[in-house]
Amino acid sequence: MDEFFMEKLKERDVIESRFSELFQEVDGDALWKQQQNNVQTAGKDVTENNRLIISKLRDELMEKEVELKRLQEVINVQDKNNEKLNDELITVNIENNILQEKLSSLNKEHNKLVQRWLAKVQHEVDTMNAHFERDS
Amino acid sequence: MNAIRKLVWDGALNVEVTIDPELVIKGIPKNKTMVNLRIPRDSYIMNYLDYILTRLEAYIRVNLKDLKELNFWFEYDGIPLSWNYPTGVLYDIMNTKDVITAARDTNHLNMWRINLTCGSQVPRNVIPIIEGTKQIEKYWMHQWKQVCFILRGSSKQIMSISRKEGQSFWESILRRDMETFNNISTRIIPKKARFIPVVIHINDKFIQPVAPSLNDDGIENKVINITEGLSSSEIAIISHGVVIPKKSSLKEVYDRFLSFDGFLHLIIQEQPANT
Repeated sequence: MDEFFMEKLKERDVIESRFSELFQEVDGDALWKQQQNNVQTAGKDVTENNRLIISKLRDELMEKEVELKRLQEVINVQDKNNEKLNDELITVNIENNILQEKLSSLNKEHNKLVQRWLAKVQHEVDTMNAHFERDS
Repeated sequence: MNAIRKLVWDGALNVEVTIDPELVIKGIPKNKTMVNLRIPRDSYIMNYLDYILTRLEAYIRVNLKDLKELNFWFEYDGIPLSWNYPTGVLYDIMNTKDVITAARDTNHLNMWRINLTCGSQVPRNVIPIIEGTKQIEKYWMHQWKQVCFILRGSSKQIMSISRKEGQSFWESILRRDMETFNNISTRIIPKKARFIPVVIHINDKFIQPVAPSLNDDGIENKVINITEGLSSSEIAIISHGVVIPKKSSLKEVYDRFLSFDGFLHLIIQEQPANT
């Protein structure tokens, strides 16, 4: 039976290790040390990739800066609009107060005129009645 | 038998790990976000997580220390892989067809493409890792305690292992030091076992059957005795990528094919009716 298993395992290894040179063997010692010390030994190929990564990160930074500027402009416009609206509100309020005052003075004048007119009419009626009594 | 144990111990897989695109800096070419590794069949895939992340550190958009707050898991074809089973077992579960009809073409590249995914919540069948590699070591040691109890009826033997020896035992897995592993494991595994620690994987489920090494008549149990009745169709039993004859002695198969966690993992593949 052992021979059978040996043959099958060897057959498996032939299939599973084909092109294994394309796959990196993990160094057991390094793995053990990494787990023990939790040391993050940075990849050796970092320097050669740095240029690519930095340029990509810069691109991302530029994109963010452009977006930031755009958003800052939007904020500025909105601030101005807000200020304008506040000014308008104050103007309208003042106008309203003036108009209210004007209305109340006109009301008073109107009442006075009505009183004067009533007094005048009363006077005319009294004069007319006095004439009638004298003639009769 | 030692030659078989050596072949089982040395078995390794060509694995291509691709990292979650969400974690990668925008604009980095896809081939830079993957790692090709030879991962031993007899190891936990999670043991290689830190190594993979360190290899890809240059392309990850956040600092590695910030990643500790996230949960990581591996996926094959969108299916999350339970790291608590040996890598070879996971491969055999997912690729049983390939094992049996393995291409004999010398130009055929046998490679397992998996993805490394992360998120705030782990999928249902994946054990979350909170304590890092220490948790994996503890889990593995717990498996050996179970194995010792199943084999001997008590965990005394494994409890008598010193802390230093326990450390060396785990170290032997990471360093792939078969000699140290054998020295310690042979102290736990008796020559005559009462029961055999077996895990049967069938249809995305796993079963841990009661598997006495001898049947009621005092005759050695066969592999077929613990697998019969599990499926109505014809089955193939696979361990370490090899089809196991059904009439093999369970103890003999265990001695030759036990995994690094002390269990014998058997994968059941249902055969189509016409084969």
